[in-house]
Amino acid sequence: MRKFLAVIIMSWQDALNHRARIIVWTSIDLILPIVMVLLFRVIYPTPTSLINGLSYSDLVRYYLLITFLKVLIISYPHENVSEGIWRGTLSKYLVKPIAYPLHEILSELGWRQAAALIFLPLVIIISLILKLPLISQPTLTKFFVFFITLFFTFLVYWLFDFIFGLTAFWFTDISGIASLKNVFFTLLSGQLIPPQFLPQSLQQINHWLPFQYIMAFPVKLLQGNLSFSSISFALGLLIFYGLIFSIFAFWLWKKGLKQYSAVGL
Amino acid sequence: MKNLLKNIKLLLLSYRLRFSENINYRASLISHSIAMLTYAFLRVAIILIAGSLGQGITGWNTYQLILFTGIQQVYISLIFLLVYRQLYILIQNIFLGQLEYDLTKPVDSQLAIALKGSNLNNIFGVVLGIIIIIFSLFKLKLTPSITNFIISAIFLLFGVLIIYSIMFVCSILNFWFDRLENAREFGLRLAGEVSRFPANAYHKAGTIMYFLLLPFTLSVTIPAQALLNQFNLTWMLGLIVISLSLFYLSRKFWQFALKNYSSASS
Repeated sequence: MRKFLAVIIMSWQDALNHRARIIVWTSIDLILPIVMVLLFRVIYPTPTSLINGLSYSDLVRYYLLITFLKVLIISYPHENVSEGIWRGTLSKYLVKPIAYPLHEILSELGWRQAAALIFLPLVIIISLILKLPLISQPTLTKFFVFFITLFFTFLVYWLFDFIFGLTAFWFTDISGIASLKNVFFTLLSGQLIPPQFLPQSLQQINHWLPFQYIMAFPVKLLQGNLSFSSISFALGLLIFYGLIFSIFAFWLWKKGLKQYSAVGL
Repeated sequence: MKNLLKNIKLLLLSYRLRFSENINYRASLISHSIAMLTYAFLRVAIILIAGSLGQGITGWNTYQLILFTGIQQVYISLIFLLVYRQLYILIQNIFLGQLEYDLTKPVDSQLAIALKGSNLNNIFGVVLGIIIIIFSLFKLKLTPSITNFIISAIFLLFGVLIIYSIMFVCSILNFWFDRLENAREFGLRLAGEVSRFPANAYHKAGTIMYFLLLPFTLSVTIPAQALLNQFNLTWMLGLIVISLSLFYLSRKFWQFALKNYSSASS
């Protein structure tokens, strides 16, 4: 337990040491939602009209929460993994007394927490200025379910991205595959537009995929009153994909290590 | 003039060298091409979805929006092709204290950096953009004149100059801040996201915000309108003035920043 904590604390220190870096990343994350909010101002005939059940102020709140969740959940372990395999720097982690995937997930957890802590005041200030409450009818149960969901969404997305990183054992340069993943995730998760704005056929496929449950579902959870059945369906699906991704990642990791070689280190 | 021609020749020579280098890594070329293809798909999908919701994007029909996306695809690919990598190398050199290799060359230091960093893997993105443009022009039953194409290309380059200047200034900040390589990303994302939609998509943004976003969206809107034979002289003049002023300012900032540079061994 102590070594796990040490990794998280180190990651915290690293993140807080480079505050400017985090501020720039969070500013980058703000660009897309600002653009989308401005675009929807033109698309909405009047601020009170509804498009697919969402008013303009619902949409602004949606993008604000999505941006915060992105800072909190979305990590890119594929970058570290693929670079480690490509440059051979993975070797130094293989001899450490902590498994590499565990080291990566813990350090990412620390970094995400620090980034979210820096970003949270900004989100609160914006919501106060715009007079848009981020959470509708806050209850203890809602917070409890939200934090459980956050844990699973972080884990599922991390595993999903990690799997793409592991393909570097065979392909070395995975930038193409990684961007393929980014494009589909950005579109289906609700980062660009809420999932209910997607074409009907895409919504039906998306219903069974984990992507919208990683980003849009936690927002829905905070914004509205979801039924018990829809919450359990979403959590069940996240756990299911979490298990599938863990098994697949473990298998790829074992296979890949047999394939791995580094020179001149 | 002679100096300018010499510099252009040098730049073209460096592109040729970089191209032969890129061709050596064919797997990377394929990987980049897949990436370009997927992002082009996303661009088209998003603009079509946005155009179909509510009031849509006024003043643009479906194929005009696809044409706009084709131009944006070329614009972003040109940034990756000509700007992105050279600034990555610049930041690396600042970190490692190796900038003097560029500073001591018998050419302008800014040009010396540009000579190093084109990434011709992104040429597929330009081709893809051109295919989208041709497809939409065909569907719109439009045949723009050579002049329209030239005007479109020139204003696209002015747009690239704006982003180059902004990304260059962001990269220069690494002289003062440690590990701020993502500042370069800020300029790129600003250009990439804002230029996704035509200028009139932001007209309800409020005066200050609208004028802040205008240079990025105009970088694509003007070239797209040129192909549609629509010209807004005020916007065109504005884009020229902004791009040249930003380039001038970035150059001055570079010269100022160089005074603060010290390498590991100096």
